[in-house]
Amino acid sequence: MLMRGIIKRLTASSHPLSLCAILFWTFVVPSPLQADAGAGQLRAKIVVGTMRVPPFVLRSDDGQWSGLSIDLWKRIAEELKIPFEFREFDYDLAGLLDAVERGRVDAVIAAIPITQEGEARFDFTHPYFAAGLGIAVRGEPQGSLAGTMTGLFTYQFVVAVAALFGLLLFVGILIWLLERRQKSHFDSRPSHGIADGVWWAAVTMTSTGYGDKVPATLGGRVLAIVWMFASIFLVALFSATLASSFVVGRLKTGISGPDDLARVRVAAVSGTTGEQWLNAQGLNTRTYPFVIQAMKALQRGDVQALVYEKAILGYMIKEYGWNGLRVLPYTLAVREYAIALPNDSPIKKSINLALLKVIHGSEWKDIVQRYLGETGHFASAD
Amino acid sequence: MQTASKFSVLRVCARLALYNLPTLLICVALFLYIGRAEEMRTSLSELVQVVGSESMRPTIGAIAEDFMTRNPLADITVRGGGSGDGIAALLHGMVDIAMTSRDVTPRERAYVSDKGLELSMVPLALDAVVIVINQANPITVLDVEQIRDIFAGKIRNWSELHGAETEIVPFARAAGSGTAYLFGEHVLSADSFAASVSHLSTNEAIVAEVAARPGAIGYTGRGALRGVGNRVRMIAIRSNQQSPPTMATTESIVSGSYPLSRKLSLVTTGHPLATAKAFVDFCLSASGQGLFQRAGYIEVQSAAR
Repeated sequence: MLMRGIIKRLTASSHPLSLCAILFWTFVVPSPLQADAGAGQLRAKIVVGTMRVPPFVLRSDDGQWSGLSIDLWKRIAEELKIPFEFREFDYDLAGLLDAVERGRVDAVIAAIPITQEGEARFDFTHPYFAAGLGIAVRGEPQGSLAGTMTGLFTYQFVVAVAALFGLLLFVGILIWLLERRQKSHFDSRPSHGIADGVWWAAVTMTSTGYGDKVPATLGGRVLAIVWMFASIFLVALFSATLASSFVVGRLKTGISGPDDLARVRVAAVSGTTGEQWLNAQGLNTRTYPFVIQAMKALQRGDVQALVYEKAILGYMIKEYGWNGLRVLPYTLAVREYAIALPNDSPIKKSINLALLKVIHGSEWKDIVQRYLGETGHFASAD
Repeated sequence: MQTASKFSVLRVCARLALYNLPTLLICVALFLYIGRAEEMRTSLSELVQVVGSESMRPTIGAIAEDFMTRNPLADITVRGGGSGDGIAALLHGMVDIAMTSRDVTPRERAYVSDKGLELSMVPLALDAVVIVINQANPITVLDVEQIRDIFAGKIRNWSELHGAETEIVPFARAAGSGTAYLFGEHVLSADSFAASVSHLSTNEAIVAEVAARPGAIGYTGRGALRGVGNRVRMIAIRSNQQSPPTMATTESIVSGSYPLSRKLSLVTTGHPLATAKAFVDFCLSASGQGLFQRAGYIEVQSAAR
């Protein structure tokens, strides 16, 4: 009785072919729906299993369901004019998947990726959302003069300069210790002598070689040779560090895609696909236990990028007011979300038709944007 | 002689300073770096995100304002959305603190322990709904089911409850308040309000109406009965016909024997960051608890005493 009621509504709004399919299933194959009805549990409505997964499935305290997946289902049900009720499986993914496999629910919509294991146990509709990893970065800074100046004097720059001076002082002291007894080029008084030493170290390092101070002892000359050759490397290293610190300072917002991740410090959340992906790419990763801590590190500037579930990044930035951050329009390691149905579900064809109609409609983009913000490239999985 | 030696001492000092400029620079750089790291660690400059129960949001928001006045570097944002979504956001690591007006479910706990973490729940205040009737009404006890039948329109006259031959005039709080939610959840459950029920937007309005009409019954937050005196009468409530009637006293609410109460708590995972922890502690301090009291809740501090 019930099945026929639903079928009538389905056929009223869907393709004529689906009618054949449904009639076939109704009369020839014992459907899970019927099996359950036969067991005495009469269903007045389609039962949709779901579980809380922000931002795909949300539920307020008065029991109102919302979220990207829920809104999609409501539109599909509206399209098909079928009555339905949600059944909650919060934090019980195994139970939810078990329910759809055994036909205890007629459909499952949450954030279920299409996988081989899933396909072996139950059926999937067409995908409606391309989920995956996104890259969050800090937004464009204001182009003020002070900002540019502080950008120039990065921490890296200060350390490089300090290290250089430290090294000059160290070599200067060494050469003075070795040469102080000669009293010829290096003054025997500590303050003057060390100054002479630092001067000599700088003149030698830059291969200026005035020759006004010359080591005379064996020890002094050995040190001089070591310092001369070491200087070649050190000067190269110093120039490179300085140059890169200027470049990074100026191109702070220069992360425009996954290729730029290699030259910056990237954050990930431990035990997530984001971390696995970064490790597989051999990228310099810093892990945090929770995504909010990674977001804070990104905002502070401890890291320059964060790789995490794109939908959650978009939702957090939009819903929790992370104004300084934005998500790049790339999706990495794509997983496609679909509605799960029991095997041989009689409603699969009509749900597919309605689903495609909804996600290709103009309203769907607005719905996606309402939950995920301006993260771009969030079209359906086509 | 005197001036010359003074002069040379000065000159030596100046030279020493000049020659040691590099050392000085290194020291300054090191100091700046350590200073920055230290500042990050010690000052309460963190951003803290609090999400959850709509009924807790105004009070926690006020406490956050107070906290930020005392710690100008801290940035605490408080958002609603409901206890369930708040806990979900916390479990997914999207916020620092969840506000909840219900207990954490075993499934939520299991989800967290599967990840090798633990939840820590800090009760801040208690909320209770009291049923009030007119002073002239002789009824003293009602059970939850009878109250439900009154508001669902199944019981329409006090005589059905062995009272006077008077028509019952029920008053309810407009939907959206924590009081209305608690009543809906604990009393009404699946039933819906009868058409005869008038919905008022404040506890004070309910007290005024019930005080004015002999057949009236209404519910308010317990805090609203302070200073009302003898204008209305609070009745005792039984969970069912067998259980003992209970008045809404601080003791009965704290012990949980009063059926229409709930606990307002903050939840964090594992070890919260310094600022988040300081904020939770501040909610338990005299100033935080004072704001809960002003909002009509029972502070846990007084409950502990």
